[in-house]
Amino acid sequence: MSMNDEQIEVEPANAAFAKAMKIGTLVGLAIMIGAGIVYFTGIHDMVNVDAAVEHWDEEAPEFWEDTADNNVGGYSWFATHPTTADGVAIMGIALIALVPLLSLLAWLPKVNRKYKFITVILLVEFMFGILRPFF
Amino acid sequence: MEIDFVVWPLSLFVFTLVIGIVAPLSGVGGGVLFVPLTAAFFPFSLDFIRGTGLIMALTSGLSSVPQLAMKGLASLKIMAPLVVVSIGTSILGGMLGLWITDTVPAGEYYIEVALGLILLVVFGVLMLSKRVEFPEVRKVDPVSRFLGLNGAWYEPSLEKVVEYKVKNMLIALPFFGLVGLLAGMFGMGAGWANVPALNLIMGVPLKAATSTSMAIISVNDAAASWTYISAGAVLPMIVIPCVIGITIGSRIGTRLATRVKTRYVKYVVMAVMLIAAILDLEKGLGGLGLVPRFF
Repeated sequence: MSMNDEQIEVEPANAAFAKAMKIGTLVGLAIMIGAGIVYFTGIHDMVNVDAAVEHWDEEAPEFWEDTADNNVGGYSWFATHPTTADGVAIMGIALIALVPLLSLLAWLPKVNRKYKFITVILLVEFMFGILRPFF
Repeated sequence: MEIDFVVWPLSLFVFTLVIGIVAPLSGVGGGVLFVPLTAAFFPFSLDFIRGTGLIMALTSGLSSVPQLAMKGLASLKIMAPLVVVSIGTSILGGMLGLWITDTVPAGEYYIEVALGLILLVVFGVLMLSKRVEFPEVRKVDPVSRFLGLNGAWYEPSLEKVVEYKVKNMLIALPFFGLVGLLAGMFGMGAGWANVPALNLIMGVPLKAATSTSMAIISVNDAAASWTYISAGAVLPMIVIPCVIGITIGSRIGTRLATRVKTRYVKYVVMAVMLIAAILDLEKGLGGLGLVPRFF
């Protein structure tokens, strides 16, 4: 176990969880915000900013159909637009939403058997949440 | 380009900056404030507001949990069994919430009414619930003993390591399940419920309860976010200024919290919450034709 300045022993499992979370969050935020800045300049977008303002009071499926002729459900509605700034920004958001799963994966090898069992359940539930649109 | 696309994101940035500043000062979570206030005052669809609320709460949690986990304040051992239940219910809550707005006729008005009612409950909880800095745990329940649920962190104000045990795990589990459902359905943070549950039901010291709540929110909200992402309920033009605003605001608010008399800030924020609850209720009931529309 490692020590930090506050005289508490940091468990390796916690350190692994924290490191994965920190790195994943930084990468996700960098992609989201960087692409977002490009989006606001109006360079190559899925949905023009003016159209977004005009339709953002609509429910989500209606919004994407009216502005981009895009049918939501699953992830192809943004994943198939990797060259658009808003598409990449949404990929950054998706990466941020993936970070806790990656952190749990980093945690898993370093915990005891009881917590391995619990963590596997968490990972299965998380994966269900992600893969649910394909069922 | 129309000026709107500059004015609205800028307004969102300033709005969430203020929320980020007052949240640590008032002890009222930013996630609790964002969704009902945005629903009351901004023209966006509830789908996008809730999706943004989840991403904002998630990002706040992800930014602070690594440090808190390294200090021992956020207990991942306590978080893990609790989110076994709440991950499932938060995903279910997201599905239910989006189904209501996208499928049920006038569904968005039902959600507005529910939002107003939830906010009144939150208001009541914040007004009435006590906070115990170091609860006494005399008897550890069998589940907590089996899992070895205990924690420790170095408390600088006491210049010592604070150790604690936990109780009532089985009583807490269904409660966290319900909170997960509400968080997923409304895109709101759940700190207002997590912290009292950890502190008063399970006996976790207040500082550790607040930190562990952030870890719970990070996992729950991430899982629920995928329901909103797959449904297209995330819009970069709304999400990005909000995430930036609340991130900067919370850093400022945390620093100010040590210098400002927070009690008065809390009363002002709670008054704003009450107004937002009334506005949401009026908007929802007015949309359903049950009351006249004033706003």
